[in-house]
Amino acid sequence: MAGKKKGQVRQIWRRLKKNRLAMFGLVILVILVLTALFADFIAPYPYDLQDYSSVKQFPSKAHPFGTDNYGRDIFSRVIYGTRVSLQIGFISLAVGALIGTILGTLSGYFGGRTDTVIMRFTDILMSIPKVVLAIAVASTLGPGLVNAMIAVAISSIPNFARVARASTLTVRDQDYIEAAKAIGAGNFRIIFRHILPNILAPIIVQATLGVGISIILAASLSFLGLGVEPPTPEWGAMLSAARTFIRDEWYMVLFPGLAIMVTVLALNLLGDGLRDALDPKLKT
Amino acid sequence: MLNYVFKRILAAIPVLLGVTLLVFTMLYFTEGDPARLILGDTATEEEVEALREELGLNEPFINRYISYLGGLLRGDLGIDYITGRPAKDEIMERLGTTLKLAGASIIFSILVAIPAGIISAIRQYSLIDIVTTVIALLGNSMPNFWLALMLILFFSVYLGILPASGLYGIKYYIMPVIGISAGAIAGITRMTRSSMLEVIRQDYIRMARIKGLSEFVVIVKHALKNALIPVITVIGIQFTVAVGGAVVNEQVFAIPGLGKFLVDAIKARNYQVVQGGVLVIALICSLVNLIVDLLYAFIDPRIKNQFRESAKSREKRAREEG
Repeated sequence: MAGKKKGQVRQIWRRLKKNRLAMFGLVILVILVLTALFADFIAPYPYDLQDYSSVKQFPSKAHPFGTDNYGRDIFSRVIYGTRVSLQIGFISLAVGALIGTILGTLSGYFGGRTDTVIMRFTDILMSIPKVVLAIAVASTLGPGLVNAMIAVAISSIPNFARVARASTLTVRDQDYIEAAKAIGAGNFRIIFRHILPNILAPIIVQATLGVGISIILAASLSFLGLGVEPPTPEWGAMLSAARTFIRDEWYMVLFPGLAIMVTVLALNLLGDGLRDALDPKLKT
Repeated sequence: MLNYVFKRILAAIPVLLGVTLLVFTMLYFTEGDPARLILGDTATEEEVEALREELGLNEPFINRYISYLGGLLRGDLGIDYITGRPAKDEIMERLGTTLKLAGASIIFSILVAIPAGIISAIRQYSLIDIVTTVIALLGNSMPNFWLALMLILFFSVYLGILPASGLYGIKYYIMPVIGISAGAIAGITRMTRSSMLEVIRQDYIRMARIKGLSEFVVIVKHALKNALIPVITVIGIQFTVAVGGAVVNEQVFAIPGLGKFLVDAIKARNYQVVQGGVLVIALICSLVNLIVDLLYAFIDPRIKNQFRESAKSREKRAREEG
């Protein structure tokens, strides 16, 4: 079993390696993760160092992205922002993916009333725009980083529930599940040992694309003032603060947004490539 | 067909009820005492307690939910703590703006994305296909509010030809609509392209070509009809996304719509207004999705048949069991 798994992974990797766009996305992603990990060494200045003698400086050698209205180095803040945004994106998505996948698997496996209740629940969540759902959560729990992450996690549940349910339905009636039942395996064991490992592929694809969506949603919340609080260098919060200066200091609104776009683009390229590599039949 | 319509509407009812329950539960657990918020800091403890009793705030959860539902049926969405007016009035005054923005964006994205997707598919791997794919990819990777900021930078600050705030005429719609549509355009283009690619490889299209029909007729009369069916389903979802986009972009362009109102209301802890607004938005999105689903069944005969078959087989099973 383990040998077969390893062979599959190697095959997928070989297919993925051939996809130049996906590899490009992967390389950017690795660079971003390294940037987040080693922000302390890469950033030329501390992210909160205010220097009132060099306020709103045009990009230069000393400040590649310029400085903001407090004289903070925007390049350093964008670097540290990688850490914040990736953290928010990955953690909130992981929570949402876990809950959504479990719900979807239960829904597909048990069917009947369980299925109806869980699917109606995802219908309810999906009928509210993600940003508006996050606003609702913020109104109950109050604004702030952790609450924004909870909101982002909740809004990603339905996608995973749907994907997991659809995949569970396709494996549920296969022989090996039947066999597991015949030798007396319990529902719990069947779901976790036999179904989940076999529906992982579409969930991984969904997760790769989902991190990008979560990063954008978290940035939107911070932009609206309902997410990360200002001193923290988060890209959406930086854009929100820079907005007032758009008329004369364009670089303040350009770079944090570019950082978001590059990150999400890398995730999208990798996600698309993974989907093709995992299921070559789907490729058009 | 009527059966399907009936069934789909029936299925929407628990979802709508679920939305009210979700919103009510959030309202229930929100910190702060509504009676205190209405009366302000100067009121005595007794006055607050009297109002709590009067508003039914001391009742248990289930009773309060039922009376909340009753209030909803009468159009009561609570009170704006700041102006003291009914939340419904405040919300309805601004709802139109947000819906106009979202509606205009959806129409714009359909007008752009469907032709782009079709051309992209019938000229696969051509320059125009590559450009379209790249733009769709970028559109999918950008936060819509940042795109809006970049548009302001270019069209308002640099060229000085478009107004950067407010909503007083056609000119004012251009940038917000592009900003809100970007994601939808990217999504609908990709969907149209892949759906079209699938259809034009099928035998009946080859047959139409062999018959000697012109390429235009083949694409428009034969391929398009089938290719657009899956596209319609995403339009309902994209409407929900567009409403979310409008909420954020109202903030960028200082447009006095429901989205900006809700964000301001959260900061002012004006919670009944927030939850009323969330509820109204959710109800509208559910209704639009319901309509799209019905439309979908109307266009795609396979759905009707599928339902007819399943109804028949259910009857059969019922007979066998009975």
